[in-house]
Amino acid sequence: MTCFSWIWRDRLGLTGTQRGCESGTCGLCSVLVDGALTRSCRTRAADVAGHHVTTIEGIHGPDGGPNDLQVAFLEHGAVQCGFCTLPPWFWRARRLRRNRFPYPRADPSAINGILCRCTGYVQIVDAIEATAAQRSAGEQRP
Amino acid sequence: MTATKPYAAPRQSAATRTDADFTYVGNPSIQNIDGVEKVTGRARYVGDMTVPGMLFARVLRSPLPHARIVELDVAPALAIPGVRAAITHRDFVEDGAFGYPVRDAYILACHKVRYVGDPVAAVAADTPEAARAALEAIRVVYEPLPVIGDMGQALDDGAP
Repeated sequence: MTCFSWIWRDRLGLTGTQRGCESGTCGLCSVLVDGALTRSCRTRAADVAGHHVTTIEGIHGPDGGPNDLQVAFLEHGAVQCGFCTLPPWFWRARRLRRNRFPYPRADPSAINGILCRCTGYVQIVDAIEATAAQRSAGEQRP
Repeated sequence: MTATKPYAAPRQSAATRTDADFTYVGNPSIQNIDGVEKVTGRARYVGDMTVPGMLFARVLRSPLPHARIVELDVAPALAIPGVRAAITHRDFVEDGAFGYPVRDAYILACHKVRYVGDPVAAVAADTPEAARAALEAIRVVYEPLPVIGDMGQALDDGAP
């Protein structure tokens, strides 16, 4: 079985998505397949043929720099070693768009499935909450 | 006897400090110098790097929680094309024993394994495939030893 994270890491050189446990537990290798959060270590390359895959390299602001959630991660100290923080948390960006207030404190499932050993999650939750509040405020502007 | 300075209590205890009293902690203007690279996925970790002539390593680990190593032979692994090295405790000075104050740990298992995942041997090869094949070729025979898996067992009469 060719795990499909191997394709872009080893053949395309897109190393932003990390490999962690390679057994479907840690969530580090998460990417979007047709918009759905998918653990690439548990997915066969053949199964995603013809589907739209987005990795961390495809997540950025309109100017090509970090988007609002990525900036919030920096401002809240939610990025330490950065190894786990990266790809998986940003898929929450999708969730933020769908759900105006996906407050992780009220709904822990919003950050479920990703293991971060540096931050203790508080800074990550703060960054997500701040972004959610900002986006919501932006939407409400006339 | 030398005179010792009288103890001077710190002017402010840590408990009463606020973030504003620290130079770095809690100061939002202090940011990771590599933060932007990290949040955009451009940061390079060791596992992301490839250098010319790089070898691929793998570690053979114990499948058993406690066992005596009856036989351990890496010669079949070394016979596989592309395999550059295969090492065991025998390749270290004094079997690779370390630890302070008691030298009771080994870099690679010596005579016994003591947990599932205890490293037994390590290989380096030209390709990940050769490294994986090398692990499978290593001949290792274990003789299982008793395992105390919970507190109750550990309290039993005659528990080791």
